[in-house]
Amino acid sequence: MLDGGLLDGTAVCLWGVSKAYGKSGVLSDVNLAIGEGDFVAIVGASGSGKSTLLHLMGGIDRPTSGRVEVFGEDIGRFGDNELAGFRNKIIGLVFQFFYLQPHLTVEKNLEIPCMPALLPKVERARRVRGVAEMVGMEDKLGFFPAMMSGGELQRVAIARALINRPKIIFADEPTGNLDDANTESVVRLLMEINREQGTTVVVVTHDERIAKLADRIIRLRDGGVVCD
Amino acid sequence: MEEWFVIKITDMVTLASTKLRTHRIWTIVFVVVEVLLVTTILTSVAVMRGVEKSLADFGSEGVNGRYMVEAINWRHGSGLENDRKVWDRAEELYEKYTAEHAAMARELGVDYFKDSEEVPTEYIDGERFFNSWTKYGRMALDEARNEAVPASGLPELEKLAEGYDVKQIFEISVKPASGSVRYLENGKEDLAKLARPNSSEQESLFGGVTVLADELMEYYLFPEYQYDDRNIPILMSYESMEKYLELEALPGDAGDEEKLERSRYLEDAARGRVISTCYRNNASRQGVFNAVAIMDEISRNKDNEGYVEPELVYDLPEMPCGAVGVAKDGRSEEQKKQAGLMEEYQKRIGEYEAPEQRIVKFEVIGLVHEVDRGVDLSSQNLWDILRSMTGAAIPSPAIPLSYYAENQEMIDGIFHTDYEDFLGFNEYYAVEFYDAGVAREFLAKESCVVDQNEGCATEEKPFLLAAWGNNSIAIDQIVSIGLRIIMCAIAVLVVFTMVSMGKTVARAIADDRREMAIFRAIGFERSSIMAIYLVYAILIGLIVVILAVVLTVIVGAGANVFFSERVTVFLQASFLTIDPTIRATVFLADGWIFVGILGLVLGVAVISSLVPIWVNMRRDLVKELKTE
Repeated sequence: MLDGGLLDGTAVCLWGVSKAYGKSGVLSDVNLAIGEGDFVAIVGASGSGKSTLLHLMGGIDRPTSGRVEVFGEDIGRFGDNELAGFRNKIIGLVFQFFYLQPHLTVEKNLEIPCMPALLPKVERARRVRGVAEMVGMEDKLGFFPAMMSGGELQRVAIARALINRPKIIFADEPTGNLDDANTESVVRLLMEINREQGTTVVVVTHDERIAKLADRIIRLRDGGVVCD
Repeated sequence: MEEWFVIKITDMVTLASTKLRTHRIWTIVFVVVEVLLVTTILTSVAVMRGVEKSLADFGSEGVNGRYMVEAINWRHGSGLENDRKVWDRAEELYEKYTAEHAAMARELGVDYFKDSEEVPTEYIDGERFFNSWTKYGRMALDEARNEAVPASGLPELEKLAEGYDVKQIFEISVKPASGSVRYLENGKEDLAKLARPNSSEQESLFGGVTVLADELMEYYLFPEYQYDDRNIPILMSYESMEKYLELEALPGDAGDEEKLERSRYLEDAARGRVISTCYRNNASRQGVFNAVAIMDEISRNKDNEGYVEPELVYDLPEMPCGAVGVAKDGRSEEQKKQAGLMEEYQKRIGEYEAPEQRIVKFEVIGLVHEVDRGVDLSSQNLWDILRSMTGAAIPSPAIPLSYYAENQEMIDGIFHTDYEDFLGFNEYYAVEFYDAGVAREFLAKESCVVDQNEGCATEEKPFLLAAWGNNSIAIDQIVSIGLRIIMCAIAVLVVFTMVSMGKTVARAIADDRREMAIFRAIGFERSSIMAIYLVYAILIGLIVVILAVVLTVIVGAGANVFFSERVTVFLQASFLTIDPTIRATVFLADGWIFVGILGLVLGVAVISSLVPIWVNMRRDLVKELKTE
């Protein structure tokens, strides 16, 4: 078990984290540290607790016991609004099904995370252009999601996760809905972001090919880390 | 992190507007139904306000729009006619007066025949009958009626109206002509017509007059009118003037414009017109009857050799309204003496009237319509029913009270009654109230109830009360009912808006649960998401309000364009307006009422959306994400 307290250069630290829904335990006494700038893959069978682990690290859920620190902050102590602000500023989230607003253009979709941050219009526009260029979607800012392919949509979703310049990106099965070509493209994009921006990337996947591209693979089974 | 508590309003609107598109089917259904409802209510309110204003404008003329109740001291009932005590009293009076008359006749030395006086009771086939129309029968009945319920007048009415907010009480006197008042056709008097029993068409114009307070009449007077002592100022009805001018009455289905045109024509014809009439009291009239009858008899028997002319033959006057003269008097001195004694006898028993006739000139000072104020529900036509409710009427022909006060003796010499007014039709009152509700209460609580046997008046409730002059009291109630119906409709609208808006927002939220979870995951606070759905509700409310206003304005403009003129003509013809500049308001959009209703719709839409928003905002973020 890791000692409690801040570890320099650590993005995420979990101390004795357990999670149960009712009487059913999902994670049990997980101790884990992810370094800043790491590209980490969390793999495991369905029901092994990998998404739950991602939710706990991403401040979406709270542990039943134990402590979660993200960039030195004990996020368990945050209230709901504080945690929402923390997620908005520090964390970028990428989902399997993209969840873009169908009636907003790519540009407006990218602006959504800027809204809670009350960023000025000019700054928003600058950031939108920046992330769009980063994911290669700068010429599709006026498009609506229905006009784009799955790979392009996931690129936009990644750009949306990047817009507030997060220190860490949590991607939950980001390629689960993509074909092989798009899968490779998206993974390469995440790796590029990790490498060029220094952004820590944590990817939950059941695809061993993706896991193998990561700096580190954490394997879960029955709610516990079995291999790191 | 405090700066992240909210998002900008423009962002809220951007995100909320996506909901309008995402949930467009439900939104459109709700908006369409709500717009129709709100438009219907706004239109109804505007039409109701238009009706109110039109009634107020058209009701500003004369006695229109005033809350007046007539009070009639109706003491007449037929029950006493079956009372044997009344019969006996009639017999008693008969015996008393016939005895007195017989004694008087004996004293003067004239013949007296008891049979010449009508018996108040008689036996037919062994059964006793009461003749209520006979002199002594009526006397006995009058005594009994006075004894049963004493006459009530102004003091009793004032006492009855205590506690009610009365504006003023008008005394109204109806004075039947005591003889005949016939207008002269081309300055001539048609005595043959007068002598014919059924020729009353001329008399009907001035068969009686009503003395009315100047204030009640003044609106109907011609503007330039100023009465003087030469002529009796008279307010006539349009219908009488029509008859006087020998115009054929318009058919019942005549159009409104035709009716108005006829009214204007009659006004022009009546203005400043002086109508010369001949007043003959009953004795003078009887003299004409006798003269004509004898002349007819002589004429019929001119070839009858055995016919003997009466000793006394009258001569009809050559001058209009002259006295009947004597053409031939072949009576003996004794016969003349007997005639003189008979006249003296009649004077002594109070039944003599000296013949009197003179030319009386009336100056028409204004016109008023004769309106039957009863609401005609039997009509098959809604407009006819509405028309029967509107309009105002004051009795006609009428003379101003101020003129009567200065010329009472002269007027009473022509128009008076010599019988007791048990029906209360000759002297009655109009009580004016400030408020229709008070007038209605007064009517409902203080009126006596007509009973065929007992009459109506009692000591507690001496007056029969009814709306007078117009139907303003009823119209006011109808308008109140209309407003109440609209209030109920608004309540229905509020409930519908609450339920349907709540359901619309709840459905949108239910469909967006995962999307909301994503928003929260990327940093939106619960309150920000609540605000987005609140803005969504406000947007729907605004769309409803804007569309409803636009639709209402279109409907209103259309209504004004298509119906304003027709309704104006209808109301002018119904209210019988004198001022042609008064226009109908079909549609009156009262800004504050509109703002109130629209604000209510918007407020209710927002408030009703709060419940589903609040309930759904408490949902577990992870649970929603896990459904991914």
